[in-house]
Amino acid sequence: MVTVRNPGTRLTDMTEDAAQMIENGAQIVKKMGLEARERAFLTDYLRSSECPLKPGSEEATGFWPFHALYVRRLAAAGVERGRSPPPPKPSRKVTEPFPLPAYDLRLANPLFVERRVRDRRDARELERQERERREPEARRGREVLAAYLHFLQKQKFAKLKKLREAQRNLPIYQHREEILAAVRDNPVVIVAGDTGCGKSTQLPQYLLQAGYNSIACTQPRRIACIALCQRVSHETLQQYGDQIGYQIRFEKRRTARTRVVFLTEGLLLRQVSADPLLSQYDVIVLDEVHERHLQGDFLLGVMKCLVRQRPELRLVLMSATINIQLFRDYFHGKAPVIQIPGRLFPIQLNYRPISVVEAVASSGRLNPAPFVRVLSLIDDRYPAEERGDLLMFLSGVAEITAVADACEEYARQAGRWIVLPLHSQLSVQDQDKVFAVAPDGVRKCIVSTNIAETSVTIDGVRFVVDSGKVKEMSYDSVTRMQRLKEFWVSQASAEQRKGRAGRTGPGVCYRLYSEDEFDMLAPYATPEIQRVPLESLVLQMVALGLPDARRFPFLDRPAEDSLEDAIRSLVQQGALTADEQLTPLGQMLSQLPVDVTVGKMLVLGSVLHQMGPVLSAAAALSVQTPLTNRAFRDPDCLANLKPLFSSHGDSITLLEAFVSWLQIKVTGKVRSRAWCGERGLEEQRFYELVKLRRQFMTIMEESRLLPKPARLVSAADRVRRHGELSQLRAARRELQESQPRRRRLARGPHGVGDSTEQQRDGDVADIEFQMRTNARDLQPGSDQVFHSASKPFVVLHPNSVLSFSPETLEIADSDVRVTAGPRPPRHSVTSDKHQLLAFVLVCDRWVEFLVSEPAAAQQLLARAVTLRRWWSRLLQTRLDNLGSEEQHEPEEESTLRGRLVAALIDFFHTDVFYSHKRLVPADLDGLYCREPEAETDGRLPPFIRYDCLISDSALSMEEETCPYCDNSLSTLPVERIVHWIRCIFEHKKTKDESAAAAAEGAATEPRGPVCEECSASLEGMTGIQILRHRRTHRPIQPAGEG
Amino acid sequence: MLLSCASDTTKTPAPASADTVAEETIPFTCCVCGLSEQCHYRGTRPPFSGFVQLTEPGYVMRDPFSARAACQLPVLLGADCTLCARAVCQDAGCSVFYTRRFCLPCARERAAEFPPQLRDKLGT
Repeated sequence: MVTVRNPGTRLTDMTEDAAQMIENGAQIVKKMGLEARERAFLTDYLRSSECPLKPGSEEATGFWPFHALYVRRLAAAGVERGRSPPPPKPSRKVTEPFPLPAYDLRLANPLFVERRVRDRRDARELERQERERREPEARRGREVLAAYLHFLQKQKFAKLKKLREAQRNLPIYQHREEILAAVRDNPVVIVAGDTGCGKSTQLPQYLLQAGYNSIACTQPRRIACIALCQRVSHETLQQYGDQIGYQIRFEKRRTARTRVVFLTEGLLLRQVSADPLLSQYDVIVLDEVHERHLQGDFLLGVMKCLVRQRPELRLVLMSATINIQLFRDYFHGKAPVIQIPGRLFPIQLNYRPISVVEAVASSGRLNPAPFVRVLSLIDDRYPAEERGDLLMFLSGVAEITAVADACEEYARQAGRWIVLPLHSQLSVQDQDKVFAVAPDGVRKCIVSTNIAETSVTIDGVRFVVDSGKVKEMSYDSVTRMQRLKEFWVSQASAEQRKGRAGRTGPGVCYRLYSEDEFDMLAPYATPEIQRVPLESLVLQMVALGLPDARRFPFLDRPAEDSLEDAIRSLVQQGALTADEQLTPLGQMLSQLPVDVTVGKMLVLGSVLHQMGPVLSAAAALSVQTPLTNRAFRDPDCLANLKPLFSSHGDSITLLEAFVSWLQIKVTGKVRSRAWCGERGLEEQRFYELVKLRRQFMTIMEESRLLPKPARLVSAADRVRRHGELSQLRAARRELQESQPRRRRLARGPHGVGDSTEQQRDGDVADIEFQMRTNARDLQPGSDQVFHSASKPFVVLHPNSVLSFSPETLEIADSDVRVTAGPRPPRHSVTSDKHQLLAFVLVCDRWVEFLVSEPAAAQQLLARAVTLRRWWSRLLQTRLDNLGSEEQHEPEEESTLRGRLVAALIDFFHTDVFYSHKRLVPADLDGLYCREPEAETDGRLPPFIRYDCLISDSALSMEEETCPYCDNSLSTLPVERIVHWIRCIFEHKKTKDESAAAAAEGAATEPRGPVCEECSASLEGMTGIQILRHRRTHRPIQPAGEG
Repeated sequence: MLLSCASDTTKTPAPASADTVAEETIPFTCCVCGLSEQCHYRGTRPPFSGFVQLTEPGYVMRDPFSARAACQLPVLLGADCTLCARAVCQDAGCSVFYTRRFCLPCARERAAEFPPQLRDKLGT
């Protein structure tokens, strides 16, 4: 360490030192040989800022090997280095070049190297230039450097030329002018061509070259947006420029200079909501329209309307050569179709149906034998030196695992195969393995889902095995359940699969079904719009200002029922009013690019200030469960997992697991992978969860439901945040390209193979809940039956936490009070300990509550109504306040929230005894004395109907005084309820409560909430923590004796 | 609109400024193979490529395959033929360089005047 006493002299000291060193250096150099001097000269040159090769780059490191080679080559040719004839003076004028000098390879290089003289008056620079021209080591060095740079730039030029040739060789190139003319003359053009014809990469470039300035290309998959952007920017030499960009939900590469942008269908739809005319684009290209995704179909309808409004806009539809007639007809035959023949070699087709006996293995799963047989067949028929890989199409991960394992077994014996599974749940690195080239004499056997049908293209495939099956999400609008179901593929898909064998040469396709079966397949796959819930779609339509979803110009109409159901469900969720207008909540939800239920969960979390856990829970419910099958089969895993199980159900258990995992990650004492292994947890899912959670958070911040992260105050916070960030970064790195799973899959082995029905996730705010009936008939561990509003007799998945500890849901005998009533005794089991599977309130026409004390019942109802009122008021305030830039939330909001939370907790601890039963349609017949109608004078909220049940009239009440305000109460039940609601809503306390509060308040003022059982302070706890604390005082009772 | 969300942050084209104006380019088309590109400079001293210079006034492109920070190697597309003055690319199938650039059609006409070591490159 040097201590500088006088900083003022430091600079001069150093220059003198440096000058001295240079002087010494020059002395040393003179003493060195020519070789070494040349080396020193070149090293200096390569390090200079004028060197076009940056130190450490591939190009720079390649120089010295080239140097050695060059020296040897010139020595062999007998050419003296450093004595090249002087190059002719550069000139633009055409001069007579002949006669040419005798051959010297250095004269075939148009490049030369010379340091620039920046200032002609600078004698030192001129001297250096002169020296470099004169001194042999400089002449040699510059010569070899020029040769190397020429060699490099020729390589780059060759790469460019090759690229252009490849572009010209694409089938679509023949149709370039035709396409551009069609686009110029028609508002809508359809380009149909099979994979490999180059339409996705070339067409945007053609449009760009033709002078269109703002081109949007939609893709169904986010990954395709990025890949195409990379490819097209490479091809347009804009790899490091910004003319070509992409934009997906959480990422974009786009600037004001961007002329072509690849974006997802969903994103373009969102842009429509901000700019209904999409005036920023002059051409819109919809790619892969044949895939018939929900968003794609919707977008097509929106575009059809848009083209009418903006005649100058150009719309190009790109499709595989599947069902082109459908699109042609959609535009009334006015859109010209340009067909581009694919590049396909002949494919030999073999039908090899599997016999019924052989179809299923003894274990009940798919029998891999017929698949393995194809491997041995190929080995028998085709010599190993003939290259060509095998691609198998199976329906799901479980099937892939079964077949891949069996093939692996065969491969071990044969030694001529490498078996590679391929499905969307593999990590990117594992997926990439399928693109690697197999060694000579060995074939790849890729066992894939339909991902390899259109999305992923693998070169070198010669053989295809098609199982004829595919797993797709199917939706039952009556029960509102989605599940993964195995279907036969369509003929179009089967052809697509077959085509994969003929991309690089003639191929062979084995279909493991008969020709008759093929003939019976549907010609085209069912479009997604007819298979999935339409809530999000309808909500988006309304938000886009399309008032009536029923009149939308669908390419294929969805079933009327499913449309009506979606509308009804949105009304129920409070996203639409009864006359189908968008509510503020609906407006909010339409902005959130997530499922309506998840969206509502997030909004609710924001309103109740419970963002942390809600974000985690929403993300946990949206990824596949990290709990693998092993977690439940392996006793050790199960034992390790037990502490994580929550009696509040699967969602909270998932949350617990995630939080514990995070803690393991943060403390770093135990390797998280090992920790997961011991519990049968799939760590990858947690990473996905973290990423999705982060994405949800971004969404919430963008929509201002969550304050943007403010500057952190304490150092400890910063450190913690830094830790979290690096953790997140690590997690993101790992997940760089894997797509988050938005669809909910049925839980089961690996989350996919099973088609067990799963309840839709309970939405906290949703006024549906599932409740167990007839608890006493059930033995612990037996199948418990649940009822939901839309589907009776639902069985919990055997891997649900609640199936593992059914006693949670049991009512202990001690809590049961049997009352003599008019109903059969079966229904008269009243208890305050009936467990709700999902939180909260009351339901429509499907469950009846019978409360033994009418007054208590009315009060309960009043409180429920109040809760709902507070909730909607709080939501409204929250949404109103979003516009303001206030840092702190308004006081009104925080008071309201405080009340709501307190009342909610209170409500959960109501000691009212009641029984309940599920209503069946037969019950409904005798239930009402008149049609339920909405209250007309506005004193009761619209969701309560009264005076319409037959038994209502029988109720007569005794006169009483109100516990809240001392006024006497009416004898009419309705009047009483209205009165109570008013009292509670105005937040009056009952006399007892006020007295108690006053007494305690005097003793310990100020005080926060306190647990009534153990007097521990609940200050600062979240609602869930309070509930959890209170639960500790109510141990789960062992099950009663039946 | 009350709310905006992540997906709606599309930038509208900003008014043209120095930053948004695309770099000036010069069109280049090879008279033999038809290769058509936009280049960044024409002349002998490309301003972007350090100490590398040319002995012929060439059509020069920035290295399109490397980031600007990593490499400033000039890629020569080609130059005008010394004899016919038509632009020709540097591909060995289109032109030959020996002290000057000759497009192959011209070079073949004067093949006899080239050093014998180059004659087989002229495809005669």
